Amino acid sequence: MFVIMMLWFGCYNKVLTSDKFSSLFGNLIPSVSLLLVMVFRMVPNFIRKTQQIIGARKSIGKGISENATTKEKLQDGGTVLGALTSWALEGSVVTGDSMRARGYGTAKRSSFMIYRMTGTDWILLVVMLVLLGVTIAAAFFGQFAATFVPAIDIAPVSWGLAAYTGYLLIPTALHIKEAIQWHISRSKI
Amino acid sequence: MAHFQIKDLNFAYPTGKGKKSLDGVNLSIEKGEYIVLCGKSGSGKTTLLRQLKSVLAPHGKRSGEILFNGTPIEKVSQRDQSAKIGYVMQNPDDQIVTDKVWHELAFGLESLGCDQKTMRARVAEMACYFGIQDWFHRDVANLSGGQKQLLNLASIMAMQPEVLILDEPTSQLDPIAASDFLNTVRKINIELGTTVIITEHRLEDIFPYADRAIVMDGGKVIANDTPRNIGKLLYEQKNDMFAAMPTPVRVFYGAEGSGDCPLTVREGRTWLSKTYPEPTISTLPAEELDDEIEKPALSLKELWFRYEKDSPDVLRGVSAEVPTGTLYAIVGGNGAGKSTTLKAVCGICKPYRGKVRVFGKPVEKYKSAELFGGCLAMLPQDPKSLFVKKTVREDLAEMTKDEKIIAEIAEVCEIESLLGSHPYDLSGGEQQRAALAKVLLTSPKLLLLDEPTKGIDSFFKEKLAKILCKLKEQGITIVMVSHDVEFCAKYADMVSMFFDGQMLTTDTPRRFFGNNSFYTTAANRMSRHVFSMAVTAEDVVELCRQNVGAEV
Repeated sequence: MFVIMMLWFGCYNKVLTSDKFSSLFGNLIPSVSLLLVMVFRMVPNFIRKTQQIIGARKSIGKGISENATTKEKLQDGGTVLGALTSWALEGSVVTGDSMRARGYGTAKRSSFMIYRMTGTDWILLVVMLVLLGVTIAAAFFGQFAATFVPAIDIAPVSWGLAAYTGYLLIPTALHIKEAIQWHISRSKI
Repeated sequence: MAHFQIKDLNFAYPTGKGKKSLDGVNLSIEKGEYIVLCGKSGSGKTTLLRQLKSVLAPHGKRSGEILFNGTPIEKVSQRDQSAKIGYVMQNPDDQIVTDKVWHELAFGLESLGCDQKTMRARVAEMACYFGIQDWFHRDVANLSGGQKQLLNLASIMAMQPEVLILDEPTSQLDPIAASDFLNTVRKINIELGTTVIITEHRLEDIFPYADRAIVMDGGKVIANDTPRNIGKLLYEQKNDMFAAMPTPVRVFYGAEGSGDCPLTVREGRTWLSKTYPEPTISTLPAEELDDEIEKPALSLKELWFRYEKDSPDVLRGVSAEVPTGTLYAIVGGNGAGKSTTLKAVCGICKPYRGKVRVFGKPVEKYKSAELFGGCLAMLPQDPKSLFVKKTVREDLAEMTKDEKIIAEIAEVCEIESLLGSHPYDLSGGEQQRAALAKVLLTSPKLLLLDEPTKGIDSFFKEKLAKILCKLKEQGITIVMVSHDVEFCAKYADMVSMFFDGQMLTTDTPRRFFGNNSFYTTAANRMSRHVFSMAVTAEDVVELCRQNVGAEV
């Protein structure tokens, strides 16, 4: 179960990058989505800076030595964390300045959309909603029962399951379509 | 009507104990001008620039008036100020708000609430103008420092400002990225007519092209004239700032030249060949070179290293021998592996092949307490990463309890007056010296310095050089990685060129830079057609003097 959860989050991270997230919600909740984008940026920055501080301390003989006690290790970790915090605070002052210098908070924020909805996107959205609706309805009417953990056990195939399978296969279908299209257009050359 | 009109501006920080940070500043800046603001660290340059944009103006007591297009700056709305006055700061990383390049470009426009169509057009326009289209979709974290700073500039230009204010924008960049950046700024000024006000340590690149140079000292404007006249004025006043002038200017006045002062290397060459058509003495003696190094302080043998299993090798067989008691400089391009070499010596990176010997003993044979306690120490590129306490004194006390030793080292590094301050409140040069003090408290015999001159001005550089000389006299061996060829030419005993993961050539500075024709100092490029082996401004001046003496 836990592994499956991890897989889900892994997929989520790969597919829904922060820029997609912000373009989805940017118009609804501009400040929250900006906040999230900034947090996303901070995490890798923090890791990099931590490594830098540890490296710097090691090179003046203040690193964790081979036979340090747990207490010493904790103390050292605390020192690094303290340094990291003041560094981050200092940085956030500059970031704040830079935001205000570029007019943050002077008007209602709008949001730059890098992705655009085209005709096919709308059709796809409708198809997805219909299939999803059918699936939910099926679940509601008890037409749909399946367990996956610990063993896959699917009750007799019903219309609900068909709809659900269709819904799940959309990305696969898109990829196959793309591959065929590419193949055709290449063979025409 | 002037673009900015500053009348009798005084400013004092609340913590400044009544000392004025700006003292009676009167300036008028016309539309489309390119203005260089120079002065020592702490002379009030940043304070002045920040006054020109209300949201960035620090708290404190202010009197006098600043007019922007004839309106007092406080009366110009925040919205207009954000759009019309662009401000680029020093640190490329912290200025960036979002995580994607395209988002950062659009940030200012989003803040102003522009509609999709305008935003699309402007972002596209800026990405093309700055050559960003290739990395438009990239993560900000994967950009180089130069690209980050260019992105900061582009995202400000997307708002189409009338004035561009830049506060030491290139101090964290390597020389190539810095001159790229400054060229872009110049292009904006020439092609778009945007007024540019810039402060810089690296005057060599911008001084010749500026319309006006303003020199500040102790919060006062002490000179405000064309670059050519400024050079003369500073020389006549014997001002400390003269040391920051471009090489041709220093050579010209140092050799007491007559006529128009050259500003660029090209003008310098013309002037030299006119003045010394056939010099009687045309070369300086090259330094003696010992082929045999008896007891190297550090020897590297065939080091190979890569960061990840599948990534390309960063070090590809680095070999070098550093004689004891010398200042050994390693120069070379960005990402060539110079800093990695130092890290390999310290054991932060573990080379998968090759040997590092410190004072003849393989580095892995040392216990870490033995190695870093009195043998080897490194000053990292960012001095901030060494500070972990609230004051400089506490930081130093982390290394040793002995007050006397701390006092001694503080004196050597000239930071006695800074001991009570928070390390983050110091200027770049001061931080560098405080960090050096902390490193010196381990009393190393071999000192590694990673880019010690990055982001510090010419006075601090000279101070640093003096400190390094003192340390050398005490028998400490110093290995320095640097982009700063002028500094290496002047102070190093040996210079090595690092390229493609290898140490290619090693020689004394005069032989090294004297034989290079591109990768060399401005003084050498300016004088190589008449003199040989002259690699610093002082060398050229010396040769000029000798020639004048010979004629008489």
